[in-house]
Amino acid sequence: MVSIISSRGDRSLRSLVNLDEGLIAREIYVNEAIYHQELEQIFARAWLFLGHESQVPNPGDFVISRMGEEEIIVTRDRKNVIHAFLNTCRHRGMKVCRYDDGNTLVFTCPFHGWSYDTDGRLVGVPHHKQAYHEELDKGKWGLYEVAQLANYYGSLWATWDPKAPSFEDYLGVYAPTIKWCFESTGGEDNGVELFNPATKWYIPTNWKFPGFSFDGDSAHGAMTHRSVNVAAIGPQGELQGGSRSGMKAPFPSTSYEMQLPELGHGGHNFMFEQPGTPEYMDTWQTESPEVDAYYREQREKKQARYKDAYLQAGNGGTALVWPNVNIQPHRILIWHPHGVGVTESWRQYPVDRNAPKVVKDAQRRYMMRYGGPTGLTESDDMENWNYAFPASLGTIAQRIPYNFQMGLGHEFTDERFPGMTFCYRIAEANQRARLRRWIEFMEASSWDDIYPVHPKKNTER
Amino acid sequence: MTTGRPDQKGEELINVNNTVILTNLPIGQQMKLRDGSTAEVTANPRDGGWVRARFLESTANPALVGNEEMVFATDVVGLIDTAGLTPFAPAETGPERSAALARPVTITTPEQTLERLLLEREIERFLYREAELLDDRRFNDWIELVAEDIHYHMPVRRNVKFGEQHRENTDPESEISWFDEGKRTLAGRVRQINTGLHWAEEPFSRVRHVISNVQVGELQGDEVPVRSNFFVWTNRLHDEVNVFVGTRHDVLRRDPDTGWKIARRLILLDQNVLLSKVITTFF
Repeated sequence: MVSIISSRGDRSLRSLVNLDEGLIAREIYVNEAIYHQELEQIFARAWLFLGHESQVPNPGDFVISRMGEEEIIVTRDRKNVIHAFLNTCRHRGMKVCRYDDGNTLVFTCPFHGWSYDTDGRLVGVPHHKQAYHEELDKGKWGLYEVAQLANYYGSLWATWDPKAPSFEDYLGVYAPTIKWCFESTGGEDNGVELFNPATKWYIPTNWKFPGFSFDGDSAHGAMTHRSVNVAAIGPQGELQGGSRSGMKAPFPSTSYEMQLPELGHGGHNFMFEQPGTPEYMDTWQTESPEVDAYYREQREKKQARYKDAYLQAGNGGTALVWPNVNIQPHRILIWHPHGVGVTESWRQYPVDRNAPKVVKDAQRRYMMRYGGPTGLTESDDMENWNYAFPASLGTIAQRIPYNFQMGLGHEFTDERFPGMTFCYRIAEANQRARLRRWIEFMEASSWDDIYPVHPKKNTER
Repeated sequence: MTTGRPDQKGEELINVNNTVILTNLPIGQQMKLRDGSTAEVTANPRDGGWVRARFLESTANPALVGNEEMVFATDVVGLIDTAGLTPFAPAETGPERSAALARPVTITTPEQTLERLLLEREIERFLYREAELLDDRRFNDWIELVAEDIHYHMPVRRNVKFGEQHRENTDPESEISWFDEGKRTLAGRVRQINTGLHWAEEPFSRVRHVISNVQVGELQGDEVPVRSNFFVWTNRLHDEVNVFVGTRHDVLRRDPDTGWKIARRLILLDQNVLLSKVITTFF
């Protein structure tokens, strides 16, 4: 483990984040005190991604998830209600669940035997009569549950803050984009399921390197992923020489970076210049005629559903939900903090719930060879996210800021999409939007300070 | 009514010290409780600490009769013979997986003959030679050892409850694995390393494969099942170290013209959360 430098001087947090000039102090990525403040101010407050209802299809099913540094049990109780609990016994703190997933009647602590029903109620206390003299009120000592849980078109989200706005309000004008991410490729709402299990790995870096740069950093592709193009092992398979770059859609659209500077979300998306959705594009699916035919048919269904709709920017593309999850129709990337210099990266892969097995298999194999720490493409991301961290730790390194100036001042608005700003497809406006929301969360004493959003207040210096 | 060891159920339900093995109590099993009550199991979470039970009689507290309560292990003092029940037993194996997929190999120890010793020696030398090619970064030579129809599979290792061991390694038929691929993708990985632009392997890591515990099964036609353990050390740049320890279940196939080829390889890496940011070596 790399040791962590201490904070220099007593400068305010605000002085470390100069958004007007795109200059950001390295300290906010490497300072341990700031990191602990993030756990309080951001991860104990924001809506965080937990998983998907398809991971707990039956009563008694559970799966371990994470919020910030802490383990969460996501479970479906016997009345079919989904809950999220902190994985800790109320008696002496032991983990009450040490399995990754499964089906259970109760969660029993292996330390002293306190036992909790899948709805969180404490139902078993050894020696309750003789040793507690029946004075312990079991009703007050159930598993500690999140303050709010949302099931948004099958995706599960939670916050520890009872004062947080509803999940839909938290998303703001980004809500349809997230809804589309959980559509089937044929355009059916809540149309996906997740492959099991989530893959999990440690990246020795601060969570913001992957969390803020993923999907806000189109500039990295040409260099980081050079080997993929050269070796012709990209998503296009044998088409276009196996390149990573997308085939041009025969649909009038422009690719932009898109931000919600007031809410911190943002993505890399297409803005369509006519109603409807693009036609099917041949990519890796053509490796199997059956798979190709399935996706072609689904795309036609989706086109039929949306033929007259002027889709908001974001249908097709990727979407980051502040602070640490990136949602795409084919993959979900979660960057959990695990110490100032360790990111616990989780990856999950959605697929059309009603697709035939041959399609699910093809989709699964494609995602396995593309993504994550063993993926052909993403292994090179890990190297860059990793070593930016130690190279930012030094006394001298910390005297010089990071440059976040790409596209600064060139953001523009579009009257069709209020609340959003846009930038040329290669920009750092998404990262600036996240940093803007970051400083607001870090300074706020409660949700009252950050929602409803007060644009003027939030940009004051 | 028996309150000691029921003869037929033996040690599956109650041990030599008259400790009731709560984990194995079937639904319907009647129990004698510490306060003299009797109760019948209605649900068993199999956590060793608790069962849910309906009270059948209780002189200490007649109001309990008919109620369902959680009953703790140390409050169960004996069992009452209940006819027609089968104790819980953990499933020994899971569903059989397709022979075409990487799956555990079974090693039997055939009679030791000279021919047999020579085969074992030949296989060991093949595995050491393979490790040498990888450690010497002769990836183009290594990929030649891979059969055209290889299934190369490294599952994710789950933490599962006792009795669910068949779910421990993710299923190549339906779940996510670290690696689950054939020769085309493996060859793509070799090409990628050979670009010199694969930043996770540029500059090269220093990699050492230590292969041991080689067990060679019985030759079946051209194929032989082989198990071996690996300790793979990688060290890169200034001080980065990654260690991968696990076991491999191989099926090796003899090609009359070109020698042994790896036809199937199941790699069990002994980690749950991957402790390294990437895996860019081969096993």
